[in-house]
Amino acid sequence: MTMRKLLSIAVVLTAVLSFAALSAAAEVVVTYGRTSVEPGDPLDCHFGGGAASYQNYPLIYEGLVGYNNITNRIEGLLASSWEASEDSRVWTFHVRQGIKFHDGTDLNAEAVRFNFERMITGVINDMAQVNYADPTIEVLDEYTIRLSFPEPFATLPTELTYNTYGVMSPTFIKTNATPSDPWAVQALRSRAVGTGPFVLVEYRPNESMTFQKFAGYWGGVPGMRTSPKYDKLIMRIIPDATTRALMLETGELDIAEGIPTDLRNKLAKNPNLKVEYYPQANACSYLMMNGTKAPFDNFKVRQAIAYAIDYNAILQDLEGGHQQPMHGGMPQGMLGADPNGVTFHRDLALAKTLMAEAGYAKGFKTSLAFSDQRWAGFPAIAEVVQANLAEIGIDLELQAMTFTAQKDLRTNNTHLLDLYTVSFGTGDPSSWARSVRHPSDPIFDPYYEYWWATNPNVALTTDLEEQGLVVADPDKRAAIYRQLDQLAMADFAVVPLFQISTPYVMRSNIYGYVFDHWCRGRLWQIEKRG
Amino acid sequence: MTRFVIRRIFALFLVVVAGTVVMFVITHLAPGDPILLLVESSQAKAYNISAARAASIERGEAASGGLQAIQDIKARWGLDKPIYVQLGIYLKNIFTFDLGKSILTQRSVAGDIARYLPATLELTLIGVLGSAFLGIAAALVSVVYKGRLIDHATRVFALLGVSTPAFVLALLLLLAFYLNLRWFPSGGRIALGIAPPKTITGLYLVDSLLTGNWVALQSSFIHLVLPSFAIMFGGIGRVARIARASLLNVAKQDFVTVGRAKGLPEIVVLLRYTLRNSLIPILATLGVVFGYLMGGSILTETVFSWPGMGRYIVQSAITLDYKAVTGCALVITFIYGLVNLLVDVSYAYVDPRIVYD
Repeated sequence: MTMRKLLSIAVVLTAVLSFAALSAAAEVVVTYGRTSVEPGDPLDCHFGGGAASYQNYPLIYEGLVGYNNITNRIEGLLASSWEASEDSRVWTFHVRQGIKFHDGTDLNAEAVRFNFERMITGVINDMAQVNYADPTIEVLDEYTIRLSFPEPFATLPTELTYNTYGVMSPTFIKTNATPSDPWAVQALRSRAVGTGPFVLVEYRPNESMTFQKFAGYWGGVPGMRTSPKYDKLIMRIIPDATTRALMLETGELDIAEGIPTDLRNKLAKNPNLKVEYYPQANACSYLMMNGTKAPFDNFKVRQAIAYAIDYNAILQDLEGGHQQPMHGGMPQGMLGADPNGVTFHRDLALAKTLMAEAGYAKGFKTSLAFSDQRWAGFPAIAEVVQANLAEIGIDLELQAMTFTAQKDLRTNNTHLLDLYTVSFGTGDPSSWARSVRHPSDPIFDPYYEYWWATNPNVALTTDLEEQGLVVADPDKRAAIYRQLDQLAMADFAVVPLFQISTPYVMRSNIYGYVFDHWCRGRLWQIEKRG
Repeated sequence: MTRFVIRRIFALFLVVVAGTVVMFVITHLAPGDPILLLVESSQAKAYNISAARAASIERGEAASGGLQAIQDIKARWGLDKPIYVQLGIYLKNIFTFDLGKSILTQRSVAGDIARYLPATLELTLIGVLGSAFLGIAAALVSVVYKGRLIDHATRVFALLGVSTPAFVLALLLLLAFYLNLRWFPSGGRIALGIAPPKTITGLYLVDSLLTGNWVALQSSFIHLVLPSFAIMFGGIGRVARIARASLLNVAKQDFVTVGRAKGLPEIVVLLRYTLRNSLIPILATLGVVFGYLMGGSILTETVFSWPGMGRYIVQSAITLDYKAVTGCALVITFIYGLVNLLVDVSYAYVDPRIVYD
């Protein structure tokens, strides 16, 4: 064989191979590793679902409004604009024109009304506020819808940012409805049709979900929903953290959630992987004291405990500096949070003096309840708290338990000291405010994660909380909640430990992923390079 | 025989009912309230209820709006009734195969179990069959080479099997055969790009064989190798140890010596004379191993992302999903009882001297 022949074969081969490589590279696939079994119906957003479904809904569905990650405000998504009446009882939304569902049908005001009807009278989502608020819904014209509430509803836009309010194709619901299942609940267990950036192509329960980029997507709004920069998204449910870590190493997963600290530190050394942390505005960890029980009903004892804790050891040594220190009791990023709010610090001498002044110079014996289901680091933090409190004479018995058991203690008011992570729903400050209620507050409800605050100014806090639910102006609301936070912190019934950051481990060619303040993973923003 | 089986089925029924009652009571006595978790897990929409309540106070109504909302949810789930009434309703419904609705998945528990059970059964059955064949094979090797190096090696292997937790082995297998050698997949029942075979039994191997779907057969077989070995290893150890003792015991008996004296080939002496007569304790062990493997598969399923019942059970137990936990306990009790009934019946076939009734 001559040199020329060899060369021409080589050229042809190279051409064929590069063509093969090109066509193989044509489809960009991102694979995401999820932790848990899906609670609720993972495709039917009107059921409210569970934490594990929050990633699915925004891929498939869009609501009237949403949080804009760039402007950090609530803006219209399927609605181009809206107006509220002076008393925040009547809300008018203008539905964006030219949007199509995945099945090719058009979005209009009637489709939105149909979805509210399904949610309120059809599948009945216990958790949707709109269900309790009892609105009258009218379609004014093809693209205008009005919701009228009997009571003021200042938080409606915040409420509507919740994934539960996604809009589904009425045609899909109607064609799959049966006499015994008029709202097509069955069909939505394997299929889903919305207006979102991704179309669900395959669902294997408890295994995987495959999404294809929606070719007919209307384009979205930057900072909210945008057309994906890749073709296919595969969500795989990999319940074991070690397995997820191995799959990241081999490249079978591009990005994974829920990798514990020890594995994360190991993976961070792999040049093909990186770890990114996203601070949350709706989840914080606290040390809580039951101010209705002795000796925690003593203000000086509560102060002494707050001054005895070694915050630096918890934040730096145990949490590796990845969790955010707190300034006040509200998470930063939430409306009303004060960046210059009070920051607790350790002052052992002061703590000892306070104990003596409270009449507990010799200390006392008590217990600390916690659950690692709530925060994986709690067992280690509990030991630090135990050592810190021993220094001021408090003999602390550590009680590790399941989260349901801990919740039960609190419901029955039999708890003393608690390590607790609270999540604040949609991130609206009203969901934070309910946690600072006093037991004598008329709207106090023992079922929720309140702080057992003991501040003497119950009338004021109650009043502030009610105002926050009625006033619509964001600046006025911010001032109300800031004042409430100051009152709560002055009470020392709760010691903020840190604002939670959620870590994600991903391949180093993954860019642009945002898990925003409000726990909404923006998978459509991912860019997979190289 | 028939009377024996009928009696045993009746006893099995009693065991299942008793097990269900115990499980039902334990879950309901455990501290915690699943409805609160439901409220919690849906991103704490509870404040909304409080808002509705604030409005009702404004209207001068009684301050019970939020609590009432929780009570309404409880009533919808039937959790507002006394525990004995709930138990009565539950037991009554069992007869129509209605195991209630799961609070966690909001689907029928029977439907959920039907969805996840085949995957667990496939893994467990392969595990039991593998334990039987490999365990007996190891014991035979051990007996033939009794006292030699290979015997000691087999016994150490069996001991390792009995003492290694399945999930530890599972992780080691993944490390070796997935991460480093890349011979086997990380988990799941079948590759993502391959459609599962048409459902007939729910067991992928059987279904793909029945439908002649060779692509699915190959993929589901490859996916089964690591998880089934992980749970099988302990079973092999248990069977091998019992089988070895039983074989050695039988090998000492006169009829074996007679057989050998007659000049029968050693293989015939070993398989027809010795093994056949050693089977009773081995079968009894297999019944126990079945239960052990089903239990062991819970953690193994998690490591291999195997979509079986194990993960459903763990999730339900953590969230105190009463109906789901009780329903799973009921089904597992039934399967375990049934397998042991089959083991007892098989005695009569293995040893014709055993007559029931």
